Amino acid sequence: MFAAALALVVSRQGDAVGTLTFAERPQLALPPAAGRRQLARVHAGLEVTPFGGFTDVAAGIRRAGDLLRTRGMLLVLSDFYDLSDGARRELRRLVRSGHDLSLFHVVSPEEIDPRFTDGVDVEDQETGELRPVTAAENQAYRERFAEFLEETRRTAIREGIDYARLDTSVPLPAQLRRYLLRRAA
Amino acid sequence: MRLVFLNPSALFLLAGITIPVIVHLLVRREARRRSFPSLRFVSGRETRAARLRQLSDWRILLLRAGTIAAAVVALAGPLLVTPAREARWGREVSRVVVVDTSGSAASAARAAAARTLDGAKQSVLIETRRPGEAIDAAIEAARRLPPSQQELVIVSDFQEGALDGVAWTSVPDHLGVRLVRVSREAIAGVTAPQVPAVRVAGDEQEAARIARSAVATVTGFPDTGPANVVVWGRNAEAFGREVSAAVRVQQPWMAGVVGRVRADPQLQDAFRGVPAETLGGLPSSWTPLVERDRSVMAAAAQSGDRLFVVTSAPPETLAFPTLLLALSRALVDRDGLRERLLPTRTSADSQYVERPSTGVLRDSIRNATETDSRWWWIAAGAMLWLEQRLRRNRAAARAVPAERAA
Repeated sequence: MFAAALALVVSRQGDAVGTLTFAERPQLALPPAAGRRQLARVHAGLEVTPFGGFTDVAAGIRRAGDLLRTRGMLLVLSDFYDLSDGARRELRRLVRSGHDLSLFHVVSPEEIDPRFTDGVDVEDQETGELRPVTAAENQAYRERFAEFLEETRRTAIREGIDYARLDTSVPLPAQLRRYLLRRAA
Repeated sequence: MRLVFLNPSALFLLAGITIPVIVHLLVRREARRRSFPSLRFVSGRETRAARLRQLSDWRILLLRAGTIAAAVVALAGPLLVTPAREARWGREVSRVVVVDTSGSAASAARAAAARTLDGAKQSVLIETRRPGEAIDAAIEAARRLPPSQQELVIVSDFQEGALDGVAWTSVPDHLGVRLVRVSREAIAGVTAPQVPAVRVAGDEQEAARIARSAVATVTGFPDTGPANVVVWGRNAEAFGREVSAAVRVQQPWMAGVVGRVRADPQLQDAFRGVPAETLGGLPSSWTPLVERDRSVMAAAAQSGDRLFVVTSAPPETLAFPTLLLALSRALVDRDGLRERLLPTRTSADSQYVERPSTGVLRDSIRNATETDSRWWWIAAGAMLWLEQRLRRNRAAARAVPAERAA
């Protein structure tokens, strides 16, 4: 939804907009183009994009860079669980190529504070792996996840990449407005 | 105060307490699943095997075990023996009534037996043509009586031989013994005694007059209401001083009767000069009643609140057969009278014994008709209700993160 809204904003400004969705491999790839038909294609593509499964961020960023034939903006929306060294290298390469990059770190409240209870097996949505947890796990998890968020943010800033966190519990218009205002400033 | 179980074999069901634990372990094999974005930061160090050994909610497990335990205890018939309860049992009476249905005494004996049932907490009626042979069965029946004062009542006309063969020593100490004689005048077709009955209920002078004449009617015995002593004399000329007293020995004032009889000067004359050996070795405290030939016909003795009259006279000569002659042997040691009241029958001439129950037999508590089971059922229900409430609360608490995950 947030990606669709961004595409709409960009398209309304008369700029070319494209999209690339990726999981383990890049899936839908629409090179940037202007016009309402392109916007419709982008929206339709986002609408049918399946979610879940393992994601290869590095491959996705590399493929997205290939789609950008001229300097432009690359907005990456992900949970960045797989922000590997390879993905960092790809980001760095795109920045050095003169592209304007923004990372939108999508985070749900459940990830920040899962509130595990006893007697539950949690199932990884990407891999399907089951792991038993207890309520005693909560504190350590919160600390590790907060560290992950901070590390991702530091990585982005270090590479000269704009970083924003998308909280799925906060209405998207408010977050989009805040992002655009920050960019305008 | 103590807790007893009327059905203790049910306590074996306490092994059922292990059922909630087993169920708990089996149920825990399949944990609930929760979809989660990524396990990258979930350590999950706890293994499933380790979880099986854990109690997810020990309170629920305890309540389940407690529910089963309380239900089992309720089934086992718990009874809390309190002082108040023991006192109530001490006021209640249960009876085993042996009814002699032999010959013409049957209908009158049944009627008399029916009267003995009044006021009893529980009664067992045994009809037999040979009361003496039914005593063992009566003792066995008494073992199943509820906690209370227990009595063995024998209703008979007590013809000679009626209680032959009774092993009185086998009668438990706690079991009171009462013989209810069906009088001959109450038996259809039997001629009433020649000498009218005399109801003794008077002062000392009147009692003495009874002893002299054997024909008197006195009413209004002090402090006790209508008297219950019947003094029979068949024929004053034939027997001289013969008097045989039949008593209901539970009446304390009966003790005074003997004293009055003994104080009677004519009675004193009767046995003055009787050689000790003639008295058959009776203790000097006994008042012997002798016939003209100076053979001992009957003897009476007072012991505490009891009056005992022993007679060797044939039953048919006395309208009211009294105590067993053998009882005299038990009365030798009067200090231990209550404990040694069991006579051994050695003579077929007379038979009559009566003694009260000595109290509630502790073993009889297992026959109690009341239990405290309902309180244990209530406790089991309360624990079950609490367990269900805890389960609902836990389910509600788990539903919150599940909704958040959705």
